Amino acid sequence: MRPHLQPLVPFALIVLLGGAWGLLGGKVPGDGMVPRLQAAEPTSTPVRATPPRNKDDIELEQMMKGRKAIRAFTVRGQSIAEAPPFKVETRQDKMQFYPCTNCHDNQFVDRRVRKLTEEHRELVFEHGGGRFWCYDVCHNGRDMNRLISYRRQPISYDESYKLCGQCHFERQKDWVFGGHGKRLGAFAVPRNIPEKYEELKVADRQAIGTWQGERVVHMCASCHNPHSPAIKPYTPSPPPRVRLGLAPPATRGAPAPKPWQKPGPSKGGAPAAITPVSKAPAAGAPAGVKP
Amino acid sequence: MSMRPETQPAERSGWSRRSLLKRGGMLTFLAGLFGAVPAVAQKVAEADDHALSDAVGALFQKHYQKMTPEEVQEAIARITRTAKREQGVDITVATDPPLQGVIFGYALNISKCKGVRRCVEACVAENNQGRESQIQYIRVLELEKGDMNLNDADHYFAPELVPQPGKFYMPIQCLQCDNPPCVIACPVQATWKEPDGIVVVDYNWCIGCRYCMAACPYWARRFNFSQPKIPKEQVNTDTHYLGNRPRPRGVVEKCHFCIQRTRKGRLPACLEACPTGARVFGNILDPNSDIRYVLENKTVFRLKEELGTEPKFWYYTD
Ligand code: HEC
Ligand code: HEC
Ligand code: HEC
Repeated sequence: MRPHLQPLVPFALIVLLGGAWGLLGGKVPGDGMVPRLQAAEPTSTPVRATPPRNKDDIELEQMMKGRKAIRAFTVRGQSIAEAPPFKVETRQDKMQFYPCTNCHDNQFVDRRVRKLTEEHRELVFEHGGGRFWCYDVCHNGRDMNRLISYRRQPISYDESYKLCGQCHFERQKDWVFGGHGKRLGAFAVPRNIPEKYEELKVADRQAIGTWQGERVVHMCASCHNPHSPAIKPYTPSPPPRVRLGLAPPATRGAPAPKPWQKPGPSKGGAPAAITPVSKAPAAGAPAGVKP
Repeated sequence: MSMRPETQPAERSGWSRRSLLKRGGMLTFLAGLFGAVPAVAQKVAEADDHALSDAVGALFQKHYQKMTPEEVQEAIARITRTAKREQGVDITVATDPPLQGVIFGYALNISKCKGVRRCVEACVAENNQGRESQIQYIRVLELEKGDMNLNDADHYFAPELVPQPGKFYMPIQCLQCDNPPCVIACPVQATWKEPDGIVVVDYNWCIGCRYCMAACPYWARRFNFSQPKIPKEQVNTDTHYLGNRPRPRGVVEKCHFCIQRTRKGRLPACLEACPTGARVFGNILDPNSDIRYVLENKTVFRLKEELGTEPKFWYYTD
């Protein structure tokens, strides 16, 4: 090679490599070429029951392959199928205390939207703003002991989170990765949480909850009543004690005035009209909070 | 120049005859006294069920990190004996060392926390704090939505039902800083950071000066003014030396991520008690842990981050 061309060699190399990369479609090897939703299943194994995965499940995963709906994946690009393995508390076995098929024969299905008066009177239907009715979304009149997916697949009560995940996929993603819901611990069912921790027997405090090893998580339905899933307000535990002879500080709850609320020379005639979100400042609020 | 010229020469020469006699006599007396101590101590110990010997032993015991395993066992024997004598309960005091390759982290979802204070209750029960005392490691703050000024927070809120409209709740406990100012402030090194990230206190070494409380920007440390009063059957007997074991009165204590549970792989009591699932705990070195998912995928912040204390406790919203 001519000596005066030698300094150009690195540039030539870069141009060549760039061209090759462009020809390959601008892809870094491994990015998008490998199907994402392979393997890594099964994500769930209920504590006792292990329902088999059916054909439709696999088919659906095939369909989802390579799709990148941003919010359905984690920052690291993992899908729900790639979540660390977990188990859920089993619910199917509780069906034996209230088997739906005792009364429902899986033959006659009353599809009329109405107020249930004879049975299930305690249920309040608030889910979806009251826009849902039992069948087709969740329950299957022809197979009452199981739920049903949009693609007409049966979903066992041990896997009801799959049902919820059809609509609440973002929450479901959080849940399988551990960002929503919680692991099983001393409290078996948060919906029935004992009012006082002390009432738990000391032995119960030694229950399974672990941060490592086997991950056993609460079902969505442990916390959310599926028929009216909004979390109900709680009765709080008592506030901390104040030292004998003292009272809680007087300024409780009253936000300090914001800089723009301070009385003073206001520019452009705009008075300090912005009020804090609170309704009435508590007693003892510093002067100047009021607009 | 000196105010006491007559004693000066003797002191300069170091050992005058008189001082020699005086000090020698004192030494002989002390030696005799100490010679008699074991025998007397034995008698006393038997007479009062080791109450005095335990107190003396605890007084002269070394710093936890400098104790030999035997000395640790002796200290534990003293603690269990005292608990049996004073409260009538058989406790076990563990000394589980930090786990390899583990650094604990905690995340708390402030959009989920509803101010139910079950965490506080569980913490009090788990860590054997007096049921009547004001010492609680966790404080739940109630704030106006949109207001992050902790000065406006109310931690004595007590409405019928929570959450109250327009409010959000923010529990604060020890954030287990990676660069803890309390450890620097302690004049006797009674508090230090363990390899798994938990900042612990040697309650016997603590002199109760409360410098650490002044140094802590998060108001996470508590001074115990009184001996906790707990019904016998509610005492948690599963304790750890650096965690919830019976503490002497007049020392500083604080949240230790339930060291007695977490070093055994279990979850902290506050997390287990939370009915909303707002709390996430785990090993931040494990890329598949719950806590790492939260740190990577959620909007997290740390309290007073600008101070450089590097808390291992994150708040997040979703
Ligand atoms: C004790 C008998 C009994 C049991 C057990 C029972 N049901 Fe029902 N169910 C009824 C009756 C009666 C009605 C009709 C209520 C009405 O029309 O007021 C009903 C209504 C329903 C409906 C409303 C639509 C319809 O077909 O009328 C659904 C959905 C339903 N049940 C689901 C279930 C499920 C799921 C289970 C099991 C978890 C179950 N039921 C268990 C007696 C029962
Ligand atoms: C058919 C789709 C669908 C399915 C399946 C579904 N949801 Fe929902 N869910 C909705 C819709 C729509 C809303 C919004 C309701 C509204 O408009 O207020 C909602 C709201 C909610 C809320 C918020 C309620 C509130 O007022 O804050 C929770 C919690 C919830 N769902 C939980 C669940 C759980 C748990 C399941 C599984 C048992 C589930 N959902 C299954 C559609 C669904
Ligand atoms: C440990 C109890 C717990 C479990 C388990 C749980 N949730 Fe929630 N969920 C909550 C709480 C608490 C809220 C907050 C409600 C609020 O802000 O009013 C919530 C909120 C929600 C909301 C609505 C509000 C929002 O923040 O988006 C949806 C939807 C929801 N959860 C779905 C689910 C689904 C789906 C599952 C199962 C895959 C599930 N949850 C499991 C406790 C739980």
